Amino acid sequence: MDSVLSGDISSFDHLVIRYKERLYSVLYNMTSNHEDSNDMLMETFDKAFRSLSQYRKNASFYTWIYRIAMNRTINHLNKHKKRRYDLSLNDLDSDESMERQLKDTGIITSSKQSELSELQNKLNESLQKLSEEHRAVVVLYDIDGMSHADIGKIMNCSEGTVRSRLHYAHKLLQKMLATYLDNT
Amino acid sequence: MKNEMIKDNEVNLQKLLQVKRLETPGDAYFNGFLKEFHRYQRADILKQSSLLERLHTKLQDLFFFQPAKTWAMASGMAAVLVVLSLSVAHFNNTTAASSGLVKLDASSLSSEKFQLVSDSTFERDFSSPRYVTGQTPLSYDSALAF
Repeated sequence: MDSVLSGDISSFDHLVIRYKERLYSVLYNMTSNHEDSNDMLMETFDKAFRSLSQYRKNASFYTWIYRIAMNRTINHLNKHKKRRYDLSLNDLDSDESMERQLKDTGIITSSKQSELSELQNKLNESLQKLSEEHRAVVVLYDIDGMSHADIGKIMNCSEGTVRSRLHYAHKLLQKMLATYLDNT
Repeated sequence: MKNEMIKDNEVNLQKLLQVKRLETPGDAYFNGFLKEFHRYQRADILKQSSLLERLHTKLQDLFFFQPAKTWAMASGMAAVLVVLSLSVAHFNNTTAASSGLVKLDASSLSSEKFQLVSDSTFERDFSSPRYVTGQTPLSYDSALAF
């Protein structure tokens, strides 16, 4: 980041390489749509590049770029409220490790594509039923593995608010995913 | 017992959600991403977005990043606008009221108290000044006779 700020523009590519996968994951889990996630990932890096002058050195680049991504996502979701997610697991490169993990956790008993797709749809459907703020904390905490403090910085709210949103979102998800939770 | 069940459900939910970490578009997508991003940036430079769209985005960013600062700025700007509009209104009134004024030699009349007569209902001769002191008319105008 220091080299980018000191004028070495090509160093920004290293930041893109470092954060692209995690940011994609957050955007995808927020929208459940590959095309939208791809567009927003481009927009996020572009916006970050153009706003480098506004970046404060004492802040973490990681939380700063996540904040840009979340801002873009929430604006996008508000604009396209009616759009539905339309990608199933079939469209993604699901590899063997996914099947292995699903079996290990007891979530599925066979590696049938239909069972995987059903789980994928149910998870996406449940996440999409949450409000943007609740979905964001679930995606950042449970899927991305971020701390409450960092989520607070990204979402511009206190750690207490993050915890309470997470608690409420978990309650809702437990109800929606009860069938799968009972099997585990 | 109930607490344990709640805890189990929580753990299971987290396990279930972690499965989504493995849901990726694959290496091919990520390997080509940087190239695509460079192409996107070049295309974006060529694309001329409308002024309104840019302003809208800028405002959205401002509100998201610095809500407190933005509200303070908005309130400040509103206050400046109110003060400006009041000043303009006051200036207009003053100009209208002073339209009948004639310059007087201040040294010769400094001890006098002057009263401006600007009633437009009078038919008057604008070529002559129409100032009166408390008692004695400075110039005579029949409309001002008292």
